[in-house]
Amino acid sequence: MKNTWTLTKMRMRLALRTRIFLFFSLIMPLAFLFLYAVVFARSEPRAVAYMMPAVLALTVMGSFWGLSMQLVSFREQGILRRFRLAPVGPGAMLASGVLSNYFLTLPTLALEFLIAWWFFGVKDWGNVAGALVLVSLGAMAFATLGLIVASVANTMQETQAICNAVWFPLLFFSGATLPLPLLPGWLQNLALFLPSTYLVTGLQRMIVEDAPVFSVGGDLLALGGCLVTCFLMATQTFRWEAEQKIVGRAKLRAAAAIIPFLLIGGWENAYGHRLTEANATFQELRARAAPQPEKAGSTVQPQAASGADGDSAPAIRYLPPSSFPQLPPELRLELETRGCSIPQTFADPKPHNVVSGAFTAKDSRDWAVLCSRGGVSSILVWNEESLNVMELAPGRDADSVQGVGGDRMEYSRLISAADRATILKHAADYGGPAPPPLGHQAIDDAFLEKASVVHYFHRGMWLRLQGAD
Amino acid sequence: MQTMSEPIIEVENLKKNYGPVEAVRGISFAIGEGEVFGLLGPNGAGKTSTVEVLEGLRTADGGRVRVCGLEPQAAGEAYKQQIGGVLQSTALPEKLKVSEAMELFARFYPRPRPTAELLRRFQLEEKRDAFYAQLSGGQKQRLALAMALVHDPRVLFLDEPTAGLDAQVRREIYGLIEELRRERKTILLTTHYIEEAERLCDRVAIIDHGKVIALGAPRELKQRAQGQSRIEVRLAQPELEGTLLGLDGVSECKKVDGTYVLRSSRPPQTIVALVKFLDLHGNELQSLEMSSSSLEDVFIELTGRRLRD
Repeated sequence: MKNTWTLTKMRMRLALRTRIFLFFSLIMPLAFLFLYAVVFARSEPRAVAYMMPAVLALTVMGSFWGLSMQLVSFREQGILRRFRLAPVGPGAMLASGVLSNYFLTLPTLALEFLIAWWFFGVKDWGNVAGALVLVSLGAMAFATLGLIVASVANTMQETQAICNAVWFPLLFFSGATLPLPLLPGWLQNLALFLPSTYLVTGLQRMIVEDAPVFSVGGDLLALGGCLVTCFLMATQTFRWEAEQKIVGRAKLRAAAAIIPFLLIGGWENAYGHRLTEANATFQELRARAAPQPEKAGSTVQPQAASGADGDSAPAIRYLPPSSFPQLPPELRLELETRGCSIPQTFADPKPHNVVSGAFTAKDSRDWAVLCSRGGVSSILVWNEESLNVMELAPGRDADSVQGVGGDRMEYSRLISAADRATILKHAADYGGPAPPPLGHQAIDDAFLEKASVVHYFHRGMWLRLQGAD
Repeated sequence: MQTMSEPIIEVENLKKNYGPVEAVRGISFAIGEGEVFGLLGPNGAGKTSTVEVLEGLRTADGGRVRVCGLEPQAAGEAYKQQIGGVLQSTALPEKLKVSEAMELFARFYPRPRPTAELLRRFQLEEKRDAFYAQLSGGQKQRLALAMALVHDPRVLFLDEPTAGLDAQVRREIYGLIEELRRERKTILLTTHYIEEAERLCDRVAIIDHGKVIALGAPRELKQRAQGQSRIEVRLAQPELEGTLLGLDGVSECKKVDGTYVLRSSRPPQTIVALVKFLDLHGNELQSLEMSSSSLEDVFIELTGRRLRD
């Protein structure tokens, strides 16, 4: 522990004295940030926010270059040899590399956030704390990848060759440069075997969709697994001497570090929703930015409603079903199959318009989801036991929009559970038809700050009761 | 005089191979605490391999090794806290400052000496903020020595400590080692410089081709060369060794690498006789070197070759 800390400090000091390090760790990532923000995102805050995951990922991915080159260089020069004479173990040598690299990356990350916030005006940051956790894990995971490269390479040239070979797919096939949805389908499937994919998609969900940390559990697991496996393997195969060349079978053993990725990639391909979600987020972004004709063959999500009279559609925020981790998997599948996205009102930054309650019978377990397809939203009511879906109250999304302060038009349809007391109160306050005997909850379907209607399920039919007015 | 109750270093029939090459073929010796012991031999004799096994950097392929009662490779960190070493070539990160290097290595040990004091002792105080890359060869070696002593080790291993350094610097280092010798530090030193072995060591093991060919105090070993002077001559035309043997005072003649090495108890008479002889036979003296006996003589006597390359 103490040795690790001593070595970490030494390595940080050395790094700060190397000009080339400053270039790669500070200047290059910032250059990328400006490139992405200005050229690709055209300085539009929401698009810049979408690009941030890629920029952050790029900033930390380079770790594996730095660590592998430095370790091999130290070994070749005979520096490690001198350390071997002292009571220092491989664990301390390796851990100090990972930690020093991480601490040195933090200022650059902070600067990137600052620039995006102050210079490009990105205000809506989603889950920043979660993003920081993920990016930290990612930085360390890629550092340990570098350690594995160093453990199989014998010379500096070999290290460079391996790094180059690994860097290309990590960079281009994972969404860190080209957004994942722009790649052909089979390449997207391949991307699921790369650790950078998990970093980028995880960050996207945090920053763009404000997902809670546990919803990216898969990403944390993938990166955390990478970190642990690679570190352990690197300690096992650590070499102090330049003469201890590693050959054949030993290289294979070190390369066993990629087995977890094969497993995770296989699992994600078979069972995961990652690609669907990435595509959804992407579509959503384009919908928000400007209405565009739907691309032929684009996957799941619909665009913001564009009125038949050619009005440009207001920007409506949609969330994919995956943004609601509380949904039962069968319901989620149902929603995804139907191609639902859930529109969000201006009133609440947290994901909403998905409620659970007893809507069909006393003590029944139901879910009501506001499902938007093709610019039309209806309420889907789904029962956990029968798995039946009922659809009611369709309405155009464009009709649920109102002006709120200045020229802003915001989506305003909100569904919530209404209990007996509320229903009776509405009836008392606003008149309307007398409600039947109320044995269970109803669904309040509101146009924020204006009016609402209450849907109550009675004897196989949905009644419209008086809501607020 | 030393009382060697329990040797602090024991090497018994050590063997070390690098693939098919047998670098160390059964070396044995024992060193007592407080002794300065030298391994003297030409390059490739197996000195460095032996020291590296003792330092725990290499595994022995045969034989038994004990230092401070511990087995170097197996004992791990406990062992490393007892020993200090200067490797044949020390490399440190270029941009590491001298004081930082000392501090760094000091921190690895539980009870280090104050680094400022060590830097002063090794005359590196002025250079304490210099980068490692800016040091001269001699300064680097002094730093390596200081680093090896930072934790006050029981045993110090010095592998060719003055190789590649100029005479002046070499003498500086000798002075430092002599100081350590006076402090009764146990030192195992390898070298191919005869002067070094003769001057610094209490006992010397002469190593050739992976074996110990002579072991003892330098004085004892030199007496084997019969306390005679050595005359090395190079001639324009070859002569028979037997012929030169007949010259006045010559007790031995060996031809080594085109040079005739004569042993003589009466050097001036031998030289006169030689000159007369050559003149008579129309031969010419190209070079002549005379020295009193040294460990090199012992080496030549035992192997028929020079120690120096």
